[in-house]
Amino acid sequence: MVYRVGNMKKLLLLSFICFSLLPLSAYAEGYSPSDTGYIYTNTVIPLATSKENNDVKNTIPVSKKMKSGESKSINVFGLVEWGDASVNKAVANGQLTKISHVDSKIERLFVPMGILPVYFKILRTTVYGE
Amino acid sequence: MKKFLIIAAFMGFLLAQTTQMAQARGLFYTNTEYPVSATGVSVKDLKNMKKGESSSLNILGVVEYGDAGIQTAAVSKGIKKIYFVDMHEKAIFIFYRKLTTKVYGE
Repeated sequence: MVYRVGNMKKLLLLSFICFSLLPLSAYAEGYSPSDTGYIYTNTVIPLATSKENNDVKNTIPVSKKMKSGESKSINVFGLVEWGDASVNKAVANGQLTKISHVDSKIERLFVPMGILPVYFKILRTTVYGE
Repeated sequence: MKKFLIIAAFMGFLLAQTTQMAQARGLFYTNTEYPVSATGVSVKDLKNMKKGESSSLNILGVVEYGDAGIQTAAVSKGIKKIYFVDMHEKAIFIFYRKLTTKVYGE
């Protein structure tokens, strides 16, 4: 009996460690290497700038009021991920015809509660242009 | 106890590994600047470029917050035309990490 209880404890500890490592796994990490807040992340990182700026005649001036489009994907418990966070979708959502630059926004929450951890992540791609 | 310490050390190592974004990864100390993107705009005056900055902060690898986007950096200094974007990263083991996006332009 004592042996079994000890076994159970070991199992619980092991599962706790496994689930604690969940957000570090490649599956939960996604493509973004900056998604590093173990418990809470709310950050924006740069992705790319477009050559559209190059065209002197048709330069898109960067400003606060410039047009933007957004697309997002959602990950729940590191097990299921759905949505379309592509540039293509963001451009369609914002009805843009020219792209100036692209930012990526990551929101993530992880609460390591034993064998029932809470994990939630939203990845947003914002495309700025006109 | 020995096993536990080994596991703890392994976890700490993994945590530290994930806290770096740059290609150059210093496990204990990182202070580097690397390119993100360039638009291909011809630079008229290299010495008098405008420089906009935005940054995000990571504490203990546990919490990360802040806006290090291109949009925030560009708008902060009123940059209308972007030349190129650099990223500055400063990290001290797992305790502290700061990402600064630097947008150069006019």
